[in-house]
Amino acid sequence: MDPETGIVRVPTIWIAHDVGQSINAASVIGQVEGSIYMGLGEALMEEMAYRGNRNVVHKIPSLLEYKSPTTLEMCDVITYLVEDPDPNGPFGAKEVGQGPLLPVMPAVANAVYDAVGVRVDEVPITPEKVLKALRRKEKGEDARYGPDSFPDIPWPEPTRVAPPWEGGDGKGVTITAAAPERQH
Amino acid sequence: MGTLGGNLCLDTRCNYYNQSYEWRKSIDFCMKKDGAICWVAPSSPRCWAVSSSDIAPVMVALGAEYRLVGPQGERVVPAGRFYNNDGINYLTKQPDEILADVRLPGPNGWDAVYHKLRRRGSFDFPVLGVAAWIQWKGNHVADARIVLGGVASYPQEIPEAGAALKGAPLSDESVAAAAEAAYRPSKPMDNTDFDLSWRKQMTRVYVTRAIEELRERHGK
Repeated sequence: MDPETGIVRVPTIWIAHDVGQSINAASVIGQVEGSIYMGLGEALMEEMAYRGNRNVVHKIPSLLEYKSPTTLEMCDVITYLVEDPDPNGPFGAKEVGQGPLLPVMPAVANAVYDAVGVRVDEVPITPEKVLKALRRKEKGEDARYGPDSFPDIPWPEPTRVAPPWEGGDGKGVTITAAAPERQH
Repeated sequence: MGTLGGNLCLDTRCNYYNQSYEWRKSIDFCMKKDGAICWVAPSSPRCWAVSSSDIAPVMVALGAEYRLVGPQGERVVPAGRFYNNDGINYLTKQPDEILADVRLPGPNGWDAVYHKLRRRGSFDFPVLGVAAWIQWKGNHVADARIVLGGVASYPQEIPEAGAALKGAPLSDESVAAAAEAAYRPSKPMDNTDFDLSWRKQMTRVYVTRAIEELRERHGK
């Protein structure tokens, strides 16, 4: 983390992923590390930018200007496969597709916070956002950059699916309709 | 394969120009090719495509000379006069001239560095380049040149920045004055990667770091 420029570099990511049962370890690790790669691009660079006010076109539809890490920007990855077989999965497998991607963005955001004490609540975490948050921190303002409000979303009522040991049969129950009784 | 001459004559670049034919057609062509408007600054009569060469600002800073050969004979031009601040007519070279040689000054106490800002170290073009050149006389700066790349249609020398360093040993104050002098005329446009106001702010940081490197190297 360079506090004068706001440039963030990620040298290493450690990832542990519960895959259930790893059937082909090399392929599974490849899936995990490929997800890390995609997550790193999302965390630091990738941005869908459109020309808003005139014609609705993507501003940078090329692999040179739509920035995504190359092999040379890719960080080191230390991967731990956690194997806790799932009796419902094929041969005990769970998943190893998108799961390992999801923690990368919050992990990078947390690392930035750990390094310089500012929150960037928006991806990509670009240097100008980090620098703006740092300036706010210097001025004693809210040390963050990101949206000021959460969008108003009409969330549906949550659904609860009881696990087998509670006698669940896989059917979901909407919580307000019938609140499940706590088992003692 | 890349060549020195190719990078010195590199076409100016712009997010509205380095696009597919279909993309350019869909928003209507710009003046650099096939159209009449500059999409970066629609009211502007000129093209604002960006000088994206790494070596050009270094050559201008070093005071290099280029030998051009054409049907009318040959001529030698200082690197600083080889470039034009215009995204379309970015070279003063005639179309029938060839850049044949680059002449560098002999080593007589000068030192130079180049610092480059870009998103990815692997293969992006610079969105800011800083070439800094100092002629040392003992610990005094006898002469200095600071040249910016990636913020105009030509390698932009900032004479005020060089003047801020000249005639005294390097001090934190003179380095800061040079960085400030380079910051003010640095006017990147919104036609490359990164936020333009951030790129402008980086001028100060990168000029400082370039001069600091020269100072450190001279101190050893």
